[in-house]
Amino acid sequence: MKYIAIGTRNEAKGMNTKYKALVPVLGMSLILTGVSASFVATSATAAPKIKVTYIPKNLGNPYFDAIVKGFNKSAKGLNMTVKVVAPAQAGATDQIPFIEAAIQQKVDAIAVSPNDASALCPTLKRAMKAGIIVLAVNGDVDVACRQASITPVDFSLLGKYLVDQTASVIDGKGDWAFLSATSTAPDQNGWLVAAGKYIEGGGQPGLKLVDTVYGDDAPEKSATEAQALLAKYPNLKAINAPTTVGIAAAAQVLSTSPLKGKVQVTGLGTPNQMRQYIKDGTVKSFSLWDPSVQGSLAANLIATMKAKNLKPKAGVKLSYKGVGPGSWTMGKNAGIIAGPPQEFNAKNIDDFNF
Amino acid sequence: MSALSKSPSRFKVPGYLIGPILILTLAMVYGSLGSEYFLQPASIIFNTGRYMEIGLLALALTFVIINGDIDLSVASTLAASAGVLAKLFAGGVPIFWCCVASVFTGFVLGLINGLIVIKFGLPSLVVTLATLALYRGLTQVLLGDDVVANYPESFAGFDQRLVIGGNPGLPAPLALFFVAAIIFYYILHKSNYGIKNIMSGSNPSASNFSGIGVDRVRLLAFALSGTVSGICAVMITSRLSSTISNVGLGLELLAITVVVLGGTDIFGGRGAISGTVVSLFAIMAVREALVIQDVNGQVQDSAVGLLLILTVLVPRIRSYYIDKRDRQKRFNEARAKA
Repeated sequence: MKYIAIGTRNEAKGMNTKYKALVPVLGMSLILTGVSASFVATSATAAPKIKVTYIPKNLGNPYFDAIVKGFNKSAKGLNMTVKVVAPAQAGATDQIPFIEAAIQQKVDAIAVSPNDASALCPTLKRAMKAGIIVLAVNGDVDVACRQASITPVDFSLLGKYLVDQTASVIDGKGDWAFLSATSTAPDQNGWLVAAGKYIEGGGQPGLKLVDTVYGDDAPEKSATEAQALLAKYPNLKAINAPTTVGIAAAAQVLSTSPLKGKVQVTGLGTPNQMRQYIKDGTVKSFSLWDPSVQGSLAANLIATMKAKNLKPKAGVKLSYKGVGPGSWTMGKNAGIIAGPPQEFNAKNIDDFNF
Repeated sequence: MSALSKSPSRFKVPGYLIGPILILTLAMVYGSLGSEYFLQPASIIFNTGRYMEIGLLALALTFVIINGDIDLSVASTLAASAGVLAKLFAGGVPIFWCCVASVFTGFVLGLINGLIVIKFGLPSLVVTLATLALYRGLTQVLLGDDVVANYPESFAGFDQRLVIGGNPGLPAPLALFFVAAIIFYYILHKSNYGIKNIMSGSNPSASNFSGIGVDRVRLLAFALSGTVSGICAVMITSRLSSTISNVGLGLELLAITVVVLGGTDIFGGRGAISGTVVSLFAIMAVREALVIQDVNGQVQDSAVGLLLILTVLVPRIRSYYIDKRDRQKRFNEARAKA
């Protein structure tokens, strides 16, 4: 019907007849696409797409954007659609409406980066009761409210890691200091204690930890503390800041100081914050985890759970090629650690954007 | 005059309801066109729970706002009440008495608000802005960074219980809200207190001279608002089956939005329970219609803000033009006579 109409219009306009030859071809291809489309449709009903909703803490956060990227990358090969929705604020209960909507939409899986370990629990339990796979990503909720959790890195190993990291940037010798977050920050304090134990036990004997100061995760205060360290310890060789705010502040102080290159800054930071200091030579290397690994791992795990009816529990082994370290073993309460910290240096920093 | 001349038997939708009803209808249409999952009975039943807390707060706030006052501290009062509940429960007090203590805490904090406003003659906006921070701060002192959880099964999950019927049935929060709405309707529109409430809001000094104890009326409204916050603290604790110090953060703004959208005059003297009820369901429909279509939080907030401005603005503009037209008409008539 359609090509006849087109043909008559062309004639009416007195167009060149050579286009007319195209009309049946177009018609044929239309029919063919129709046939192939219906074919695709039937095959889609045979193996429906896995519907996943991922709920980050909030939107516009590059860290979670990286997780989303990992999700999408892996979803392509897994016959999976990933929807990302998030509240405006990272309040304890702000994610609840989005979980409820996902239950309503009968999704196959909900992955959530929880703002609160307990408040989401009743809603997540409802989701599990409805047969939905529930994963906690980049944080955990109470174990009864999810099937498995993915955390970025093994925090119990970070203390040792920070000391070894410092040793690697100053060839294992010299005075160094910690520039931490607040004196009450639970994560950092745990790492500092573990680092102290490692040193006491004879780890990295060439290093001498001379001081630990707190920048309160405020850029101004962190910069002041870094300057004070430089003035107070003339033999200082390195500052290790295991906080994204502290490391950026210390690097910024050193980048404009005559001590640039003589005192090393390392620790935990994000590539986007630290890129300029790597490029200008202030910083040799620093670390963090690659958040996108958690997204990829979550997507793959959901697909496995769906396809093979896998029940996550301690000791279950997973192996996904091309994702982070490639293989994992579930820990206590089906907790999965995504991988070792990722080191960033002049060679690889441009591969990361978060 | 024109209202009297019309037949009294004819049912007429009051002006303040037109906006919310319109929003409700549009949101329902938008939601059901946009998603096949919008009008599922299960979701309508089980997702209403968290709106009913806002609804109850809004019912009590209707009284406060009609008085020409405001209570910004409702969410903080709720948090403090929930904090007391949690602390007592953690200390081994039976859950029933924890709930009683929560409601009582709400009542006392509301009374404190009212007493400061009335005894010192301070604007309620300032006083409750202060107690918003104060009560929240006290909650943080009380609970610290702790999470109180492990409430008994018999107490948790109030929002998932059905009072009438099986599946589908009437969920408990919705039932509670309807009962509260009927009670508040009778208090505001049929009782002496309600009439005094509206009178003292529309003209405090005239009411005072006519023997209405304006101060007592206002004090009662604050105490009511506090008590309802205490009740909502019980509901929210049961729904989340856990308590943290930032529970209910920002609920006061939602509750005030509901009241104002429902046609209650923010300057006092005018308002109706029916408006608050319909506007609660309108906002609920808008939010649910947006969230089911995967609209993000920021956009939802903006949408509700925009609706509020429109519903308050459109009647103002309309009455401005009606006034202008009437004045023109009277002017023309007067000129014709002359």
